[in-house]
Amino acid sequence: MTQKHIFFALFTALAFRAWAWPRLRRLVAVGCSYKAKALASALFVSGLDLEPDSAPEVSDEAYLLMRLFGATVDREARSVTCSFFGFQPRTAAWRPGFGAALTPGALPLAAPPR
Amino acid sequence: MTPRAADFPERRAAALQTLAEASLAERGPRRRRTRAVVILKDGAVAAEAYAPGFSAGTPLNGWSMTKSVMGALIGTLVKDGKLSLADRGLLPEWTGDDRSAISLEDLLRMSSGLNFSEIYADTGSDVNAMLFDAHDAGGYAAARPLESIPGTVWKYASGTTNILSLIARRAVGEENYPSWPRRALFDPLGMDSAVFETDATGTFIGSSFLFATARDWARFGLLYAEGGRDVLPAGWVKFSATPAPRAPNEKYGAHWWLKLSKELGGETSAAAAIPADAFHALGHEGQCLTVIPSRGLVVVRMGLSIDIKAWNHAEFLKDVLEAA
Repeated sequence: MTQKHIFFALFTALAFRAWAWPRLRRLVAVGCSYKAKALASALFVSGLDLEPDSAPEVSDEAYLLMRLFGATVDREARSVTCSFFGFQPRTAAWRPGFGAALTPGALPLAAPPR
Repeated sequence: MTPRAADFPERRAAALQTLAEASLAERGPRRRRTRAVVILKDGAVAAEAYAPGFSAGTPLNGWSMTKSVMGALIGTLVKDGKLSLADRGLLPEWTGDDRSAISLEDLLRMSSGLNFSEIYADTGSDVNAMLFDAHDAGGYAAARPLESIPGTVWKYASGTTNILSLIARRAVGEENYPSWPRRALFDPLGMDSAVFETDATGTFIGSSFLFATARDWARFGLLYAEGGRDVLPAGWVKFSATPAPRAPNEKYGAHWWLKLSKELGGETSAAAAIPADAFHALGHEGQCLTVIPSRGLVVVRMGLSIDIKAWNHAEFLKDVLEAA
């Protein structure tokens, strides 16, 4: 392999990473957020008795790929966290009167209704 | 809602109940997953049915049916004189650019002119970014650029309703905003189960996340069937059910659908049997609320039809109309 080939391979890999990375990040972030929010609302607002890993809301038909996103339910804190093998974790938490909301970053949630 | 009217024949109620229960069964390869059906006739529950694991007390997400509720909430602000349909310059962040020409009516009629992609299957779309990757749903939508002159192009966009929610927050004021939907709408209608979810900044996600029991969704429909009572401004129901000037095939009014989509059985002989005064709140995965004032009917169907074609709402309405 010549130096030219190595440069070409490196360039291609970097270009692919630059193109693919934001798309992959968005795919995983949206998938984890959707699953966390859907499960938190189903469990803590609707009060459904469902298995997080097999609930049709997040695992059937068009949602088949969401099975790859692991869900952890904290029933005491009434929150659900989903991630792709620890990557891009997203949490949705329940608050009295306001249902479930995604809690990205450190932004505080709204105050409860008076 | 009241107990069933004495003059409503028992055999008709039985026929409606049979339809409601039959809607719970699967039919064909596409999973319908109907979870709740409530049919009101002349303001009373004529029939209702729930899938196993669901009941009259289960709050369910209306998804985009929520938009019609946000439309009603905006109506209450118009009634109170806090907003008017002709208002422009709606957000400070639009000051000094062409978006200041967008009117409240443009937003209610989904004709803002803002660029916004509404494709749930595309994780890179604006609707997914707004709902699942942004702190501030209304702020995300409000930051979108114009792609056409406001009021000249109809384009259904969830971002539009979250902009309305943001405008309402500023009109109502921070102190009153958290309890505003309950005071303005849910309490007067007796929608005790309603839970309106917010984004991380505390703005109600008017496009997508109102949970309520099927009966409470029916109570909301009944408000429109009864002309808005003293909750909505005079003429608001007519305004909501009048076709948006730029909506193709007169299919959309003001935050209410006037025609069903093809996926829900629109443009079929069953759809042709639906009276012309019908209007619908419709949501993701087959959430349907239909109001038919001329027949005194409010029909609610909630479900998890991931493949939207699984639920033929036009056919169900045709059967309901024949039975009622």
